[in-house]
Amino acid sequence: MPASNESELQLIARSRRGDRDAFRALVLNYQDQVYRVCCLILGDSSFGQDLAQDTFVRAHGKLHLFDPEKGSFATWLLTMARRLCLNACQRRGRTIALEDPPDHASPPAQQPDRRAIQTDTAEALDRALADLPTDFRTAFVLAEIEDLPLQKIAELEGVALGTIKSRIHRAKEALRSQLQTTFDEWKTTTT
Amino acid sequence: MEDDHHMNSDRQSAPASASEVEEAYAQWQRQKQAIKAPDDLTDAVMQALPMPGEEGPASKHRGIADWRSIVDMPLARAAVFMIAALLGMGRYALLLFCFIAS
Repeated sequence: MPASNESELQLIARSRRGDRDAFRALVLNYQDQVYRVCCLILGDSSFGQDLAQDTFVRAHGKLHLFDPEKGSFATWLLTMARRLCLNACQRRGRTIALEDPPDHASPPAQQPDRRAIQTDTAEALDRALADLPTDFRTAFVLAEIEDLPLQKIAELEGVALGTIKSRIHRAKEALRSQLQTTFDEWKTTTT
Repeated sequence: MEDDHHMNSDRQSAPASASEVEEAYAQWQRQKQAIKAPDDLTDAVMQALPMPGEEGPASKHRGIADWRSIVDMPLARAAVFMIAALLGMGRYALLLFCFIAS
C-alpha cells in the first residue's frame, strides 16, 4: 500500500503523463489484492493471473477516467477486475475449485492427523467457494477476504446494501455447512 | 487413512465443536488473505503495455483483451445496431418495391 494518499495521486498523475515507473509502482502496490480477488472469484490461479494482468493493462488505458472524488484507486481497480472476472465466468460457465491454492502458507508442523484435517477442510472450503453462485462468491471474497466495507461492495456491485449482506450471509452459511460436513466425516472415520 | 491406530489413540485430534469449526474457517480465511501475486506479474503487465508513442494494443495479450471487449458488447447495444441496419436496408427495399409495383 502507498505511504500516503497524496503519493498515490502523484503516481497516478505521473502515470497519466506516460511515466512507466510510476505505473509500475501502482501495480506493485495493488498486484497482490487484484491477483487474490481474480483467483478467488475464478477459482483458477492461472486464469486469475491472466485476468489480473488484464485488469492492470486496462487500467493503464483508462487512467484518464479515474476520478478520485468518486472513490479510491483500489475500489476502481477492483471494480474493473470484478467485471473482467464476471465476464470470464459467464463465458466459461462455471469455475474450477482451486486444487493448488496459490502461495498460501502451509500450516505449521503439527501432528499428522491435525495437518490432514486442516488440508481436508481447506480443500472442502475451496470447493464450496467455487460452487457458490458467482455473485455470492464475489461478495464473499470482497467482504471476508479483502475486508472491504459492505457499503463499498454494494456500490461496486451496483446493488442494495441489504442484498450484499444477504449474499455474504448465505455464502458463509454454505461454507460453514461444508465445513461441518467435513468434520462430521472425520468423526465417522475416527470412531 | 493409514494411521488409524494413531488416530484412534488420540481422540482430541477429531475436532467436532463449533469453536473448532470456526477456528478451521478462520485459518482458511487467513490462508486466502495471505495469497500473494507471482513475482513476474508486474513485469508481465509492463511488457503488455503499449510502448510510449504507440496507440492501441502492443501485445497479443492486449489484443485479446480488446477483442473480448468487443465480444462483450451488451446484447442490447448489438440488437439496436442490427435493427438500425435492417431499418436502413428496409427503407431502400421498400422504395424498390414501390418502384417495381408501380
